[in-house]
Amino acid sequence: MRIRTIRALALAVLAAASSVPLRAQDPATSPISADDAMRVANAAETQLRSPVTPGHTLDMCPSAEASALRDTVLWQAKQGMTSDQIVEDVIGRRGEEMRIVPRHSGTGLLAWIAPPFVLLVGAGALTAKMRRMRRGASADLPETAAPITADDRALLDRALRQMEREEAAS
Amino acid sequence: MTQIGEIALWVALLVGAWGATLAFVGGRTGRGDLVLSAERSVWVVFALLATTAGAIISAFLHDEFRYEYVTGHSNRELPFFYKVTGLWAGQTGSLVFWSLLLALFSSIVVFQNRRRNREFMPYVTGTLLVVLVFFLTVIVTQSNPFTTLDFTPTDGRGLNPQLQNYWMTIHPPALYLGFTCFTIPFAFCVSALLSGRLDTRWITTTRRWTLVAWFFLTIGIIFGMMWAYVELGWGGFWFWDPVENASLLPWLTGTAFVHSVMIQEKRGMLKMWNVLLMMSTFLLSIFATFLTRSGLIESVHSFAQNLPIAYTFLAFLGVMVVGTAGLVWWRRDRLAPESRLESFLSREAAFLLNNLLFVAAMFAVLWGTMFPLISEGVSGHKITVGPPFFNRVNIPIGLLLLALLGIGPVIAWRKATARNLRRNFTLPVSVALVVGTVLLATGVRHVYALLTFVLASFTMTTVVVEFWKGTRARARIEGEGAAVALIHLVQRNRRRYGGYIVHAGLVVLFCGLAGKAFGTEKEVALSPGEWVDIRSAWGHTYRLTYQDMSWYTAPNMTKLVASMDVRIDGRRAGVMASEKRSYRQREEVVSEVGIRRAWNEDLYVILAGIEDMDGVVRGTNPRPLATFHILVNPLVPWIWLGGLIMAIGTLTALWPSAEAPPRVRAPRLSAGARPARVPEPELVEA
Repeated sequence: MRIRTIRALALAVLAAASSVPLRAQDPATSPISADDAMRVANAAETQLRSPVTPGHTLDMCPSAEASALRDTVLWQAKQGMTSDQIVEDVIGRRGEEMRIVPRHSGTGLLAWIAPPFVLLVGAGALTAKMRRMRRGASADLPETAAPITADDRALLDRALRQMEREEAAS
Repeated sequence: MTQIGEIALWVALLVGAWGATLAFVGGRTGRGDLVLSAERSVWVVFALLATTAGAIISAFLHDEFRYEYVTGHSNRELPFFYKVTGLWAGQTGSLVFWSLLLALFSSIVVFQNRRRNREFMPYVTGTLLVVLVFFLTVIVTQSNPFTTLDFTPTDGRGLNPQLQNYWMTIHPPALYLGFTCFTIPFAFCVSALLSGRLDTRWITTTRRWTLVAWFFLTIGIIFGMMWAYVELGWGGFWFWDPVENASLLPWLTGTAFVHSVMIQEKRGMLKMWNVLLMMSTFLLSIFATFLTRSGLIESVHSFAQNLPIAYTFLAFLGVMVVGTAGLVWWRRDRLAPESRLESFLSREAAFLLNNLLFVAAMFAVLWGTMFPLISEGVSGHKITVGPPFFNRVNIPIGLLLLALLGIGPVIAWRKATARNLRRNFTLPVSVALVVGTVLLATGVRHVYALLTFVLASFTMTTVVVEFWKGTRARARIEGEGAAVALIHLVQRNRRRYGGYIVHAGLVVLFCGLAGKAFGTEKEVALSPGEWVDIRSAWGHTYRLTYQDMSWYTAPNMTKLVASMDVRIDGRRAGVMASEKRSYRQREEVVSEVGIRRAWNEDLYVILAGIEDMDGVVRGTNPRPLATFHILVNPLVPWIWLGGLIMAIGTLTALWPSAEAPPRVRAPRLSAGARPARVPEPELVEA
């Protein structure tokens, strides 16, 4: 009895899973509101490059070509495709150069890991440096100070006098 | 006139090279006559470059289309104003303009320091002239504005339509002013290294120059955002384009420098770090100029690809990097700190963290900008890195900086006690918690936006409390009214309170950026008489009714204007116009957006397409179907307001104090005098 129930459940899950693509292509059976479709389309457009303007995402490019591609993307969203599916579909049809967000694998992964890595290394170096600075600057400074020159002495005296004048004035 | 300009360019190069040589030789041998000669060559170079710039403008105004540069960026119908600004509309002219500004600032520095800072001046003059000579060499050998065509066309190609905008006329000059101004503290830094005078004098001497550079770079970036917002027609203001990023890079390190010098001035720490930051800022300014001009990275802003210029800039950058690194290494013993860090809970530590975050942000932006080239080098495939990457990487860093903006100025120097922390942070943290709770209760769920508003309220409270505490204390001690006490408070310490005003502006700007999270947009095709509704994040609904399409000719272009009636929740709120402009010489059609501004949001209408544009112009189809892209952009006006407040804050910090310290003048340096005999100057700012 228990095995039958599990089999029935498994069949139900399989049937449901297999019906997803079919339903996704049929707006009548899987309605998606205009606002939701717009949201999905916008999400996809921010991950795709404009076919015309370098550095522009598809959503920001005012060109006619970009506008036509946006229409296609919106139509796909209305068909029930997710933003990721739309992105992969466009890249599959038009080439990898349409991708504007690096992948999280291969060479693209380098783009993602370097900034946090540098931040972490910087934080580590800063912490170590601050610890050293806290322990005292004696390690960084020479044992005995260099003798002061006559010029520097004159400069120092003048600066001190000026400080005194400023303090007296305030 | 133009021939004189070209001759002036060549003479400027020769005089610059002569002056640079004399300055270094004079500095090395201690011969004042050579140094004076070098300083005078700076003035001569400026006069010659002004002549060259005048000649280029004259060529524009007189429609001298035999010059390639004029033909490429002007036409007979181009308005007078854009003919004058044609000087910096293209690669060649903008390099002349860059050099002219640097020569102007160099002349001011030489004049200001004719009787003081004499031990710095030989190397300052030499460094400034070396940079000038580099730019002049590029101009003369690779990008000459006086290159003529084989024939003289009857008219020019016209100026790029997207550059025919008032923001574009002031955005590049502001950026160039910022880039070139940073050369001055860099030159003093190099001079300090060469002369071995690595105390705080080179910093105090150039404090005002650094702030001026930062001011211009900041407003230049904001003007660029305004231009992108009104001209590029997509509803945004920053899209992490390589050239935009290039202007941000020196701003980030420059901002870190503005903060870290305070630690050196107060505590004698971070000498090495400050030298490195200033060098990075200058090198990144040159890098920005290189990126815009090389065309190696694709950008809508960059000039056409020019590999010889790219390699020349790279070579110069390489030499400067090696040279400056060598100098720092040579003087590393003199860059040791004079005091120690007493606690992790101190203003020094907060400033160090602030510096780390600015540099990390700089690296992230630089890395993303260069990644297409890096990935091509690694894998052979160019990987494009667009706005989503930069947003994901930089927003967390930006939020941490926003928090530090509130923490840094009020945490105690040396060591913060529990009492100090309680006293300074109880109110700001409470306000932030209340704001967060209210926003959550009203349904705000966008994490980054929520965090921005919470941290912004925290930081803004710290700023307000600082003003309030200072004003109250002054009013009590001096017996002044609140308004007078506030004015006197700022007057007495312009640098400190100017800084607070800048922080307040940045907080407002951050809120404006966060407003993007609540934007709404629609794209619709409408016939005249049809309408569309779009809801604002503030709860009201705009109804836009497409009324009609009209067209008329204007100088240089034909305009098609769609007018839309606007109603807010049924109440009439005026008429908006959105345009398509067809520029005759360029045969390009560009959109001019319609913007209805309110204090808290913009209604932004892009005329995305017209079904039968020719029919409208011919009169056969006066009521065409048109496609509109409509956006409601909440809080965008706050970005411009924040920029304005930042500018006011910087000017407050820059303004000379009414109570200037008495100055002790050094005697005039006469020709033949040796700098070693000149008495030491006083500690005054340049």
